[in-house]
Amino acid sequence: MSFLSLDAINKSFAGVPVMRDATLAVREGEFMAVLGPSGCGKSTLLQIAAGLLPPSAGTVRIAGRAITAPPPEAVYVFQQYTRSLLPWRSVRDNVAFATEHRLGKRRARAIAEETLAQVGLSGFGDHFPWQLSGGMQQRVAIARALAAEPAILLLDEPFSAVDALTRLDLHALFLDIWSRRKLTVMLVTHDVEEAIYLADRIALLTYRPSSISEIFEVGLPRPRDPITTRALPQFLELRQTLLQKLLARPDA
Amino acid sequence: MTSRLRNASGFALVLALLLLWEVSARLGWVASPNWPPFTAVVAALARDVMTGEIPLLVGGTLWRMAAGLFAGGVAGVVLGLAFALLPFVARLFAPIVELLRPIPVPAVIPPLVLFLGLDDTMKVTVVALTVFFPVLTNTVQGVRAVEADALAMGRTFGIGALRRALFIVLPASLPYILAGFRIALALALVVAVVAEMIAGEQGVGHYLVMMQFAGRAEEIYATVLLLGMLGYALNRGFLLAERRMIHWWFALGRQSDA
Repeated sequence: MSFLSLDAINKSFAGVPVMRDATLAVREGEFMAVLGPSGCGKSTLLQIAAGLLPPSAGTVRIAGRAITAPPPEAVYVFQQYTRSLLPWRSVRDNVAFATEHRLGKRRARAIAEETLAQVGLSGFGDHFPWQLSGGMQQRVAIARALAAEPAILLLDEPFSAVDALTRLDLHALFLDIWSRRKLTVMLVTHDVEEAIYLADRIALLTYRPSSISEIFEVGLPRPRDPITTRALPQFLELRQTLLQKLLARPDA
Repeated sequence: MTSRLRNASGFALVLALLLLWEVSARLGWVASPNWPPFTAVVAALARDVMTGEIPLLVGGTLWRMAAGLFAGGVAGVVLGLAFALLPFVARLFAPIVELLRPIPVPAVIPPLVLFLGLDDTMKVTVVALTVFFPVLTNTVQGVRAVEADALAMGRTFGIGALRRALFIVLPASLPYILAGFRIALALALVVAVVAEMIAGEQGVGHYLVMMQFAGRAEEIYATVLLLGMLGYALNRGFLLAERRMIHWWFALGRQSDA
């Protein structure tokens, strides 16, 4: 039984269909990547999965329940940390923001310290987000998401706004957290290598009106290494296949 | 270094003009009983401050101004938030606001006098009306500038609408709201004094008119000077408070008018 299922999702903006019958099932504990070119509605699909955006037709189920609002099991992580972190709150209070409405300020702050330690940011609680580097800010956003103890994380290209080396660093950190916490993950990205390196399966999203056209098993052994995994024949083969699919336009 | 020099040159011009004032009065370049020398004005100001007459008047004016600023400001922020967050409120109130906004506030003093009398209630209301519109407009603008991601972030963590309004929307729009208050602050002093000049027997405005009738030029200039300094001090104080309240905004490289 899948943990997150998107069933025949349709979405139109101002009468223009952008998504047609997108169907996808993410298993419990699975790392699912949704790969697609820019502007194909990846974020739209993810926001629908998070209950942040209502679909025009179709059903989203999380843990077997059809959802119409953001469910407590799921947390959405945004691409632009500068927009989703609150600049008037310290790093600690940004993380605490995820839980203080449920647990109160004291408990929320204690949890914030714990999750900040897990992303390697102990001692940065009193800083403000804008005093940190981009990679560190994205760690704060990840810590905030983890503080809510979600069963499923919905990642909207969270590694795309940082430089290449920082990205590898965040990948390693995130894979570690994912395996230790036994999270279910749905990641949308346009980065083929990122999708292969991180995911168990990769769903390919077509151009508008978009839908899931194919699903690929990655099948690479874990734990994965940022350098050697990328040199495996299996990795390169899948990379080539996926790039060919992405570059093949419907009108070409 | 150059900017320091530039500041110094601006200050020098002020001193030069004050000197010109002094000399023109002392040497009779402007021979009029209505043109007392600057030093005499300062002496008059010092005298009236010492007797406690001026501080009392200024205190009254400032109190009415502050009360109006508070009432109009709170109303502006609350209605501004409601305007921007609740579409039906905007639909209901927008036409009224647009019709009332262009009316010059001093023009509503006579009708307000009929209903509220000559005293504090009327003057505080006049100031509140003045403050209300710029604060309202800026609050609405501020709310529109809130990042959509910040609001969606609140929703993904299951934070309710009221809490999102108080802990995301309000702080995020605070720089805009404070900009509205800064405009309102200057207007509030103007309107408070004008209201006192037009009606009642209170405050600096009334004192100014009395001195004019009595032909006491020194006191008139002393009062004007005092109001100038008061306005300057209020603005500086406000800017300092603003720096503290939204330090993050300045740290992010946003410009202030300071």
